[in-house]
Amino acid sequence: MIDLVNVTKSYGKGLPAVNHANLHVDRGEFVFVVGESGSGKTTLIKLLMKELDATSGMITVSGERLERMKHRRVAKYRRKLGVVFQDFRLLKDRNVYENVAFAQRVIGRPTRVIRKRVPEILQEVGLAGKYRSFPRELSGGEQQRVALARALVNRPDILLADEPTGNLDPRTSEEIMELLEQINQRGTTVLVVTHNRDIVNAMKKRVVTMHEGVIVSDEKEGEYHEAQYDLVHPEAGI
Amino acid sequence: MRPSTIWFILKQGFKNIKRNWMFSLASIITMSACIFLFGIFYSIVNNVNNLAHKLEAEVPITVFFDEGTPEEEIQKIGELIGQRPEVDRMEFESADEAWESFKKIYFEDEDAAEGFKDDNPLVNSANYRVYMKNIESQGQLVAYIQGLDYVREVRQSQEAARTLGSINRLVSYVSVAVIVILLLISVFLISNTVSVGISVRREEIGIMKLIGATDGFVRSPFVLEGILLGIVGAAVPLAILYFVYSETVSYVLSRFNMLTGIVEFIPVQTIYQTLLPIGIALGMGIGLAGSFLTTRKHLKV
Repeated sequence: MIDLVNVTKSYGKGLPAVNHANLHVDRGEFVFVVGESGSGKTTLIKLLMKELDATSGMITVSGERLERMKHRRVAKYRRKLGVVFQDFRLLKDRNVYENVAFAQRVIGRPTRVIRKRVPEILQEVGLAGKYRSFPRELSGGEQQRVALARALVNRPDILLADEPTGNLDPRTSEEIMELLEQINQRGTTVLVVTHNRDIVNAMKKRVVTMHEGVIVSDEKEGEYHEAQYDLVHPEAGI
Repeated sequence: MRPSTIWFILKQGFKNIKRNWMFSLASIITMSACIFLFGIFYSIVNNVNNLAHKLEAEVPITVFFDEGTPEEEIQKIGELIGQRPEVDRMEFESADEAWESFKKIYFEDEDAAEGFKDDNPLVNSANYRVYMKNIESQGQLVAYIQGLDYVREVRQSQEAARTLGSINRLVSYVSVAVIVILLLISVFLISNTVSVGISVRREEIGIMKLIGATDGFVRSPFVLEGILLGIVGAAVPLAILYFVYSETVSYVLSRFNMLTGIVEFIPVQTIYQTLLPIGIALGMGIGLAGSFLTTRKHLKV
């Protein structure tokens, strides 16, 4: 489903944000990408979304080679992905229903489909009674649920979550993670970038650890340790 | 594109205008000024042209012949002149006809002219009156006719032709210059309004892009905004000018009634048959240009 082969992304001089990364994620997997700030996690997400282009290497997502992709194709490609962010990124002047419906409007779904699909997905994320609320009237957890509903409403193959619990208290974070797990169990590939150690360690999922742009470990049912990584940069040939 | 998607884009476009109404208003006002001036110049140029054409139709060149020119030669010359592209129509006046009309004008008492009965004093006054399509080409035609054999004299009204021609040219140049400047200002202001709209909605645009909106979908509300501003900016001044034009014409004609019959204004309906579509198209064009250029620049999706 996701394949990174020797992917490097540098922003000018200095260490690359992502450095010779190799990663393979199968369909239906649940993967945590962990690491401290500046370890390259967010760059990785941006590469997968084709918000950024890799400096070198090969990225394949859902059978599409990103480095060869024409600009015109990018919009269609992104419809295969659902994305959620730490800051929710909801439209503040629109209510819950409109925020979710927006994702369907954008890809040109007819109104009758939207009217059926939006309540369905809001029900799934546990917001059945809040259609008319505006983001400011919702708690952080609820806002993230709206963001999740928006990400999932078009039935993406892959859900990318960039620090989805970064602004939430531990209890709410757990709820959101449970929701992500349910989504994963229904067949969506889920990739969560986080530095929330408690959650990662509690869920016993695959954990990919990044440090200064390098993937330093990749463990099935792994944990997120406060390990000190001696940096071995691949280009140094060691 | 589905109707519901088009409706959605349309609503977005209107929302944009409402959201930064101050800038929208400013662009509408500039655009209005531009189209209003355009309309004024357009009306003036057309009326001056109209007047020139009327004069062209009324002021012919008169061609006289040498003494004793045989009739068949006169006829030949007539044919030659008639073939010229500048010529609209021509009339022949024989010496007798010339004398008849002269008599009518100068001898109210017919008897006084009887003395000349068998001795037409205007025996060499057979002439062609040549009416031109375009008064500005008069000089050229006169030079040609003067070069023909048997032609004694060509009378012309070059002053009128020159003056009207140059007034018309001057008005056209000035109006083109003013309109071009205003067009540029309008495009700039529309572009400014749209870029304010874009910066206000930057977050929303970012979200749209992440969700998988195509470039066209992201851009269309802004382009639509520009076109809507353009249409309103054209409709308002055209409506005002309609009344201003009608009122001015009736005021001028009633105030200076000696002009009636000499100066004939083009009816406002006739002017608007072309001015209305041109004005609206111009407004839409400015709106489209301003917004399209801006979205291309700022919405690198």
